[in-house]
Amino acid sequence: MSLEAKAVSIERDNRPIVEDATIAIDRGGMTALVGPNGAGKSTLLKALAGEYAVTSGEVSLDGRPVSGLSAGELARRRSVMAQASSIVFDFTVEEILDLGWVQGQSRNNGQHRAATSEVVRECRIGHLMGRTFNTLSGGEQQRVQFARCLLQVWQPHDEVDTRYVLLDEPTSSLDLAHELMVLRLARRYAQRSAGVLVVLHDLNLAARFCRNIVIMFEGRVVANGDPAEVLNDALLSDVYATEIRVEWHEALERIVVHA
Amino acid sequence: MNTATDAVALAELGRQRRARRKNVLVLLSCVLAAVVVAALSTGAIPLSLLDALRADAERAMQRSVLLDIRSPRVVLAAAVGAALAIAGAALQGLFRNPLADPGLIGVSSGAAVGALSMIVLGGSLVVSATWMPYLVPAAAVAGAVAVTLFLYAFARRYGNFSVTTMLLVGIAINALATVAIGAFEYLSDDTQLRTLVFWMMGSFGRATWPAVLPTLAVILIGVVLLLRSARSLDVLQLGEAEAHYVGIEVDGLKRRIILSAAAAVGAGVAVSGIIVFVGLVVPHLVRLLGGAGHRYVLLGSALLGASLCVAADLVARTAVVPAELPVGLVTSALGAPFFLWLIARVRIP
Repeated sequence: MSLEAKAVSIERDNRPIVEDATIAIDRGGMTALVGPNGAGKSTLLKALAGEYAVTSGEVSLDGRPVSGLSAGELARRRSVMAQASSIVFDFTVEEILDLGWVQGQSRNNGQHRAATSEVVRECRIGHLMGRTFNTLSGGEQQRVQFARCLLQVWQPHDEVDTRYVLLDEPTSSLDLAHELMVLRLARRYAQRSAGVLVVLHDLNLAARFCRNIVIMFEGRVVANGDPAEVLNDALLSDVYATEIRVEWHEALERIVVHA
Repeated sequence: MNTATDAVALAELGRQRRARRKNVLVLLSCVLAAVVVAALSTGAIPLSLLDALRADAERAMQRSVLLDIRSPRVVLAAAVGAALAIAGAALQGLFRNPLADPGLIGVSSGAAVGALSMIVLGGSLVVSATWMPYLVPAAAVAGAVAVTLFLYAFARRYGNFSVTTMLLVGIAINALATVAIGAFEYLSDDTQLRTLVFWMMGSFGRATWPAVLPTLAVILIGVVLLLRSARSLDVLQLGEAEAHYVGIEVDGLKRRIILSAAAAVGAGVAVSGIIVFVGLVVPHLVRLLGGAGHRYVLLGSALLGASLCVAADLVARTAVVPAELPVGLVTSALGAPFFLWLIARVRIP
């Protein structure tokens, strides 16, 4: 059971963006998608989300091709947090969060209320709920969008129907503390037997929170595996065209990447 | 804070918002009722509603004025006002642009060109006279749909739905429509010419029950379809890709909104001409009163739009008795300054 891309190639405006990429998002842990700007990370994420059609290869969700699933079926199984988007009209934070509720038509029932208050508490956005979304800072908006994305697949959660969450740079506007909070939440969510993919630029965070790291470079997957294997001086220096060193930090007991 | 108090506080927040919106909607309904009563009672022949409805011979004339002249006119004004305002609100939601108004972006002009082509050229079509009353509204709806689809395709193809693009394209479409209308003016005879002038300014003066009822039916269908898309319109505010992530079939939604909004506007324009600014001013006021949720905004806009047009028509037909002002003049006098204020507020990038 996984959300997988098999030998996927994607062209946009007749330009190849992703070539022959194979990755699987398994449940129970987080997968990081890293690589330099323009490597094709967001495009691959959008193909996994079922938004972009693939030129060749196949994207499947628990064995079923995503191209054959309706928007509604997809929405109940996977949620996506895209990079920052603005909202024109003055919706309250509570209303924006509510848009993430897709489990069944009925709202304002016990299940809806319980899920919402859990997500609000976990994401610590209770104090923002009555505010107008447009008046929040960029970081606050990002936390609300993250909460909406979690709420979409919060319940019901079972072994048969795995839920997947795709996060495209979910911490780009966050301060250090909130960055850790969001990634901890995402990892904890994944450990409830869900699959989480996160596009990140910070390799230290990727190494610290993710079970699996996928490195993309010029549209191809150039490494895929355990952080300790994948993150090495030679490969990273090559991919980022910068001298990079990877060390095991004794005191922190984790891998540290220096540029 | 534990879960229970959080959940209670959250439920309370939602409850307050819904209660406020309900109060605004009740208030707007009362305003509409009051304006309708005022409009029915006021005019060249003063009458009291209760008296006129009493069945006795002396008041036959008053009753006839009320039932055959004023009632269809007030119903038409209310229906067209509701259609323009709800279509404005829906198009603003669709384009994610607070300055979209069926008049300003050219949808009404498209409807007018469609209707005019049928009025001026329809005579040469081989159809029986009984179908003509339906062909004009049908052509108006087709014109409105064509312009809206074009606007959407254009914005999609050449960049964006920004406020500026949309208004500039609206200027271009309105200019093209002026060319077409000018050409029809040149082709038309005297009676047709009078009709053309009325088109450009807008008027509810031609309301008769046979003309009003089909319009009312089309507008009602449009309003119901738009109200049913309210939640999807909310989701669309997250962005098109994001709406798809949350389970909305975006292409179907867009088609539904474009068709329903254009049908409502087209049907209205076919009988009352071009009335601008109603679709711009009304949704904005409704949002100021109770927030941006579309179920509330669409419903509130329909109510306030109806009130505004009935009131504007009342002014139009009583300000300079026995002559009549075009109602478009009244709405523009109110709407244009509001538009300027809105431009300053929105701060076009």
